[in-house]
Amino acid sequence: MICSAIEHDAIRAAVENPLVVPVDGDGVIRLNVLETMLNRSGPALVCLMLANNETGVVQPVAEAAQLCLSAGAWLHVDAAQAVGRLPIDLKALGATSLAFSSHKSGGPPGVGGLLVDESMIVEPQIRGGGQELGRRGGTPNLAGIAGLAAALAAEDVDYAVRLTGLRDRVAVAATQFGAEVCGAGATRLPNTVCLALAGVRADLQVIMLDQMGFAVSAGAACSSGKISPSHVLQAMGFGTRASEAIRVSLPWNTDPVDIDTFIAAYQHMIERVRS
Amino acid sequence: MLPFFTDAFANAASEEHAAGRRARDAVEEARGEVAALIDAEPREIVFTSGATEANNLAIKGYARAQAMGDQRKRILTASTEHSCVLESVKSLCSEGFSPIVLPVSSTGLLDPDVVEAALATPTLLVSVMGANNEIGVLQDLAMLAALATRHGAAFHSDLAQLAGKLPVSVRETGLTMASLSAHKMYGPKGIGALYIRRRPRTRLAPLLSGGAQERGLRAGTAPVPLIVGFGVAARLARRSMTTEARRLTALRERLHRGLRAAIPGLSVNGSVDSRLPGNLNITFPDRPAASMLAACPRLCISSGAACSVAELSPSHVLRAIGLGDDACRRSLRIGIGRLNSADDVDQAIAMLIAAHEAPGAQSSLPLRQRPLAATGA
Repeated sequence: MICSAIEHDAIRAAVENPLVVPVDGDGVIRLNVLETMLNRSGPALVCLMLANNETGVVQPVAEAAQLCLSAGAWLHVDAAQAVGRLPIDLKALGATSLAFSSHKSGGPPGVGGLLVDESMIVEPQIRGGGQELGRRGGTPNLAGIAGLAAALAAEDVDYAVRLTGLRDRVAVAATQFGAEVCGAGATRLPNTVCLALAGVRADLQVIMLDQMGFAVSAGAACSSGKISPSHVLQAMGFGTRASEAIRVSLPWNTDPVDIDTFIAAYQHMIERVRS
Repeated sequence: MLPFFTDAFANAASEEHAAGRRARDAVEEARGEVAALIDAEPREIVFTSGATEANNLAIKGYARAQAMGDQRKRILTASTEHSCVLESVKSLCSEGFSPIVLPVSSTGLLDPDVVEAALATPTLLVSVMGANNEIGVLQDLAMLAALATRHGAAFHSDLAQLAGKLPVSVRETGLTMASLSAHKMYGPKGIGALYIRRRPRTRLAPLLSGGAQERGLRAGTAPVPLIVGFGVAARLARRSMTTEARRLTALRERLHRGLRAAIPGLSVNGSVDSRLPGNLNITFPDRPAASMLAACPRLCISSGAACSVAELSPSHVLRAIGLGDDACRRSLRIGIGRLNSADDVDQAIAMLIAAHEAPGAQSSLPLRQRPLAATGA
């Protein structure tokens, strides 16, 4: 298996010793390395995320798909962060399979989906009563599925423009206060910005912002509790500064006033730690 | 449960912020309720997407975790188990394990001598359900668990149908692992749990890779609203199950009496004495169940497990207790639940009797499966 250095733990832990495609300083996978790996490995399963969960950096998956296609490799795309936030054209993307999550798309937690070619799954993870065409046993989470469908069907026409504007206001202000936007040179999700603040530990930033009423995270929530620097930022070359970045995610209903309040809180936090 | 869908939607793993802690506290409160229902400790409860996943995790997870250091490869289960247990056990064949599916007697109960004989060969794991989903038969879990323990095997039980219906103590029964489902006790669909005994420690290999949620045993963001709903359902069940069991037993006996009086030759499938309060599985002397159901559109009952809807084949449970294909087609499972009254039961009796007496009720249609649940419109 081949995966990138910035994949979610769900992918990283799925296979022992995968070939790992590095990313550049902006957190974008290095396609030329992927190409070399594919040439050497021959047919393989390649797992790439469409957008990173910590930095929001969007990956060149369609280009990677071309490389996979010519090498005869399968491409699985983890689109958990992207579905509902970016327009996705499955055909143009060229993925063999694509995973997504309801609660990342505005639906309830506890449900997700796998788009997969009819011929692909040979071995179900969970066996049972033949539900989901025999690919996934268990009584379906009806409320969750209905909620997911409603979230995906909900139209939010100016989502990308609106959220990108708000996100960039956070980015610009934070940069003025001395922070660095991780992956600043790359295309990023409209709602995610990852801010590194030199010399200030991320857990301290999270606690201070929590006290001011903001729920931000240091790294992925899934790895909360274990205090280790982000593997994503390390892969981007942040070194020890990987422990100094917080992820700020904007919900769909964020309004400009929320951004003003957040910027003030962020500034206040910096003043307190610097004094 | 509803506020956790809309206002309090934070990730329960995000303990660094207040919203995350509120979600975590709600999850932990629910874990306590679920644990209390079966006399377990909260940290012995791992939330899953339902009993199907819990059964898969228990059986495959236990077998895989022991695979390295244990020579024993034998896994015992019963022929009347839910398909997810049978499938999980059988799938381990390809990983070098030896599944043994034990027969049951005509009452649906496992014969202790058969189990004892099977345990004479060193066995890794025994998996036997608490109550059957089709015929409602209650296995003697304490006896079976004691047998397994005496022979050094772990004992897992699918309690999906039993928990919340009748009191059960995993500790006193001696279970190593037990699977639960929320929607079988009036909680939401899409959530369940696996009880994993801590002392002595039970080691499992997780099914899913990912974050370290549920102490590393079940990756994936916790569905907080579903877990909260499960906790409330467990609490309500714990408070009401003793009186509810008595009420449902009386209703089931009323239903049985009413049908038996009007339909000579009607038989009950599975032990009459050792069964779930709200379950009656009957075989009509001469009418296919499908035609009876078609004649009673207001009744919401099923002829087999809802889970096997795609199969349209005769119930493996009824066949396991000795019914032929024809008798299987004449069989009906009737579930009586919390929302049903004596009046519902009387109406059901009247409708079924009328359907049975209707001329031309014969039908050669294959088994038609209906949504699970209770009598009454």
